[in-house]
Amino acid sequence: MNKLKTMISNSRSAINISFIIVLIFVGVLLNVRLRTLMYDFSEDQVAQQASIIAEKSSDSFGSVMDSLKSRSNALKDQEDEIVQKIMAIFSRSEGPVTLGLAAADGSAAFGEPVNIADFPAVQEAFRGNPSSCYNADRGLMFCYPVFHGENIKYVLYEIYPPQMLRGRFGVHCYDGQGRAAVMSLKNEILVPFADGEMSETAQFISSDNIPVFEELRDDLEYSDAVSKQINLNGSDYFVFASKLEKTDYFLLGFVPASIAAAGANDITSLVTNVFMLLTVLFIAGAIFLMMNTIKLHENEELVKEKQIAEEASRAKSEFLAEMSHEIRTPINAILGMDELILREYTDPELRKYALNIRNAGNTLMSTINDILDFSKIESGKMQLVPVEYDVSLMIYDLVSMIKPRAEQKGLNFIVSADEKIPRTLYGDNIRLKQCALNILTNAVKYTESGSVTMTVSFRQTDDRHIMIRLSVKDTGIGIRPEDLERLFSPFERMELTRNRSVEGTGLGMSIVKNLLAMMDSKIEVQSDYGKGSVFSFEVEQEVRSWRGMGSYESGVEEAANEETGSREHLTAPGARILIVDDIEMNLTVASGLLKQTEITVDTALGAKEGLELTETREYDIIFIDDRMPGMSGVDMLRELRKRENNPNCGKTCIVLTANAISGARDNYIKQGFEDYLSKPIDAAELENMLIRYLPADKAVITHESTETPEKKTSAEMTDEMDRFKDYIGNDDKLYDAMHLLLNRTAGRK
Amino acid sequence: MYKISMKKISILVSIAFFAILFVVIVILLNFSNIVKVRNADDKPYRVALLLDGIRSDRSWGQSHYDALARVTGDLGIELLCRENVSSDETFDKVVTALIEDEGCSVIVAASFFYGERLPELTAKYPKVYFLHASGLDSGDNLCSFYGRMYQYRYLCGIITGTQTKTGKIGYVASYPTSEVNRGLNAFALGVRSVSPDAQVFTAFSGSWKDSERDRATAEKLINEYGVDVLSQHTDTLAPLETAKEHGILAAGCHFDNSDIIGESYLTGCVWQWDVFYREQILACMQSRFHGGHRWLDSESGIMSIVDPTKTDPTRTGYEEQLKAAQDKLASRSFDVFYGPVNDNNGELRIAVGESMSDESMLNKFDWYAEGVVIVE
Repeated sequence: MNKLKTMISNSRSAINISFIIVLIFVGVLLNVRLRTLMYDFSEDQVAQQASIIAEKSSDSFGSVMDSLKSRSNALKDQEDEIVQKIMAIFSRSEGPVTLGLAAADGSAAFGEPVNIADFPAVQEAFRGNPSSCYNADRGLMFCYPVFHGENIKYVLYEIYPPQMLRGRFGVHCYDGQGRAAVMSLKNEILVPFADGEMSETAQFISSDNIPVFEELRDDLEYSDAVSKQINLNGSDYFVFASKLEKTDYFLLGFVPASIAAAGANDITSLVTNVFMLLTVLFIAGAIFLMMNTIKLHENEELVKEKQIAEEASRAKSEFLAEMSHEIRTPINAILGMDELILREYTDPELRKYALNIRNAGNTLMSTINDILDFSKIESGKMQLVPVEYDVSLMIYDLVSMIKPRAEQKGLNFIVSADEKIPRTLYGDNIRLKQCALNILTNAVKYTESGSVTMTVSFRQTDDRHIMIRLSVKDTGIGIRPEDLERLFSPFERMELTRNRSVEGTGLGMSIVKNLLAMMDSKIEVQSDYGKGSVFSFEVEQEVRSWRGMGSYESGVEEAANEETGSREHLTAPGARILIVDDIEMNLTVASGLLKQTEITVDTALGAKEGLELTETREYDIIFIDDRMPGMSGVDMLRELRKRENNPNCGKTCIVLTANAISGARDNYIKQGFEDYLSKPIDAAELENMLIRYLPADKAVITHESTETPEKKTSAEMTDEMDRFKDYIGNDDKLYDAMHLLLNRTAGRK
Repeated sequence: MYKISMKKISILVSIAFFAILFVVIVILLNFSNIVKVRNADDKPYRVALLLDGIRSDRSWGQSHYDALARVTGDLGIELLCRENVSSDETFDKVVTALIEDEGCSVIVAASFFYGERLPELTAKYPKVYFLHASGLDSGDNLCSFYGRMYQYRYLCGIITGTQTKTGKIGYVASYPTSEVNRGLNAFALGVRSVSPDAQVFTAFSGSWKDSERDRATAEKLINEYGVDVLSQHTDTLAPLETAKEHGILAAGCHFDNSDIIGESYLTGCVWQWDVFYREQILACMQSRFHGGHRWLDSESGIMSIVDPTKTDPTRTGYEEQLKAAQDKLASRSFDVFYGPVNDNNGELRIAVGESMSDESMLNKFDWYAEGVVIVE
């Protein structure tokens, strides 16, 4: 796993690094290309500049030609004498420049004779074309024809000696930073650089640079001005060349790249910098993304871990549910046995012990129930089961459960219930009651003196619903504001040291909170530390009957009158039932509970045995435990229903189960059971069940209180103890003690 | 779902990024090429020659055709030749077809008379280069060119002048244009420079390529004027052949015909256009063509005279004079039309020490030098 992760992150960083390398490559390429482009651009710029310089230079040649032209015009068609006179005037201010008038054969018509072989321009001029030519010794000659009629009589010429050319025709460029010379097509230097040392030109046009010049010359064939970047003595230069119009000469020069391409370099560095910045940004982005990806991976890990944790939590909840079930079964037995003691024995001391057992058992039971509820909530299995119920009964139940406890502690329990609360509501009364009970229990638990006040009120929300409000005010120790948060966390108990004596799982409020949340409500707590607290909640319930409930006690009475009295007793001597369970103790308890009813009770240890029994005898009701090893209760029922010849094929079957999960009842009925009885078996419920399902002719119902049942003898007790021992196992010390106790009780009697 | 789409997006983004990078790299790598690639099609480069006559005339036409054939063969390009193209609308049609259908990039128009048609065509096809032999106009895509052939006619005149016994020389000319007159005057000046009393009997045949007329003109000059050397400025072989038939010497032009005429072929001033055409066609191919008017001198190497001893090794008597004239020309202190030159009416056309301008020589030669006798 880690290897894989490293591999992935390695390949990712490899990709990123290659990205960066490619980017750097692109950057370098861009820089090079840009530089080339900029140099091309600069070359163009320099070439343009060169052609401007060339224009200037050819202008200076042109001006010489222009002055020759105007003088030639003055000489045109003149008599020889006048020509001589005019020439004399012209030649006055010439200085080192030789002015002359040549005849066709080179002889001097005025001034010095010229060697025509040295100066081809003379003949060119004699053909009527103004011309110039260069002679390394004599200098630069400009010739202009002097016409006589249609023909050329003389050629007017000026010769500029070499030492004078630089001053007269020198070309300044780039503010003295560049150099330019005028060259002939034979690579003779006509006009050296105007700036710098005289020798510089010759140095520049040394044999080393000839190839470059040749290249430039070739390029000149294509355009009027060209430029090229070269490296001379370690620094970059632009060499340029441009034709000089109307001459056979060209301009050749150079300029340092730093001057010619100053702007271009700026642009290049600007673009390069921007690109570098972008690259850095990209790298930063890539790193950020990579880190995010790693984080994402970590998140995935976290999600996985969370899933695992949730799975573990669910497993824990399921384990708890299972455990609760497993614990409930023996408690069921204990409480059942205890109930038997209470019913059958009158010895006050024994009854006192038995009552204590019942109290402790009930506490344990409620604790288990809390844990079961909590685990159900945790594992998401908790469901609301809305039914139609009587509000007054619920309040009465609460009062009857809390009042004794409160009074026991010397607290004043005050109940204030709005008599106008609609009597019949539709909702999950069990859970509602549980919430209220938890709050009330807490109030009683944490109040040392004073009172606990329960207020029930309501408000109508629409024509079918009300919000029923229950608030419990106590004068207890209250809750510190900083503890409020922890109040609803599971397993948290406030001020442990102070409340050590207060028993409880610490699950109560958490369950309340969750149950209320399921009912779209929440608990509100107002607390004054040291003075007391008010817990309240509001739950929406559907109204089935708007009739006010009146005083809750009256409601209870009414209910008692409507139904068969809760204290009714059943005797059905002719009836015969079968109880199937895999645990013998349960069978003992159940049959013990039914002893007073005089019903014949057959018990079967396991489904197979049960089925065998059904083959032989006919039963009025069959109670079947669902959870049995080998064949489950549901399977047994199916098997029974299948056997058409079986006398009990269509008999009433009631499932016995500790499976208290919501929806279980519906599910069992769907499976074919007539009804459902949850374990531990409540004597009253069992009796109700019998009343409902026994054939009317077999059941005798009396409302009087039953006569004291005959008490068991010590010997009988010992028998029972042995059976008990068989079931529980061999914790001998415990059972010795119990035996002793039982014997003592029997002895006293 | 989220993970998958993230993955997909990141893959897509990576692909897109790489694609963009790739394109950028390719663009950067090819940048200079993109800018500089031109004329990338592989169509053969074609040069067309248009002739007033035929390519195998052993004269003006063949001098161009042979030179172009050699040059284009050398350069590995194609030469198309159209013969007998008259200088009317036919010329336009032929040129248009050559450019539009054949894809010719260079048009060589080898007749003076094509000049009238060219301005329109050069404007219509600015990307085609036009070379006009013996033309006078110029333009951005038009170069007219010719050589200072008059210098070579002058030399021919000197040789002829040394070889004539009767002092009567015949000259079969086509039309009295500046070009023809210039050549004729140069020839006459050459003759007179060595044989001061000689006369050049000149007759215009009224055609460049009509052999019959040339023959008739030549016959007339020989029979009626008793010329013992016959020169010409037309594009037919008739004058040379007629001279041979009559057993007199002949001085040809344009093309060296010494091999087919034999002993009676005295000399000739001939064209070798190769150097010029090579330079011009290369310039066209490299897009560095410069229009203009080029009047090439002896340094260009496109002209020469045929050695008189080529057909008759014993021929002599001309060498000194020829050598002297050649030296004088090379010294640049002399040209053919340097004064004094009188016309055949005795009028001084060019005074001593004066020279004739190119402008006059090219466009205004409407007179005949001393010694020229125009025969009707």
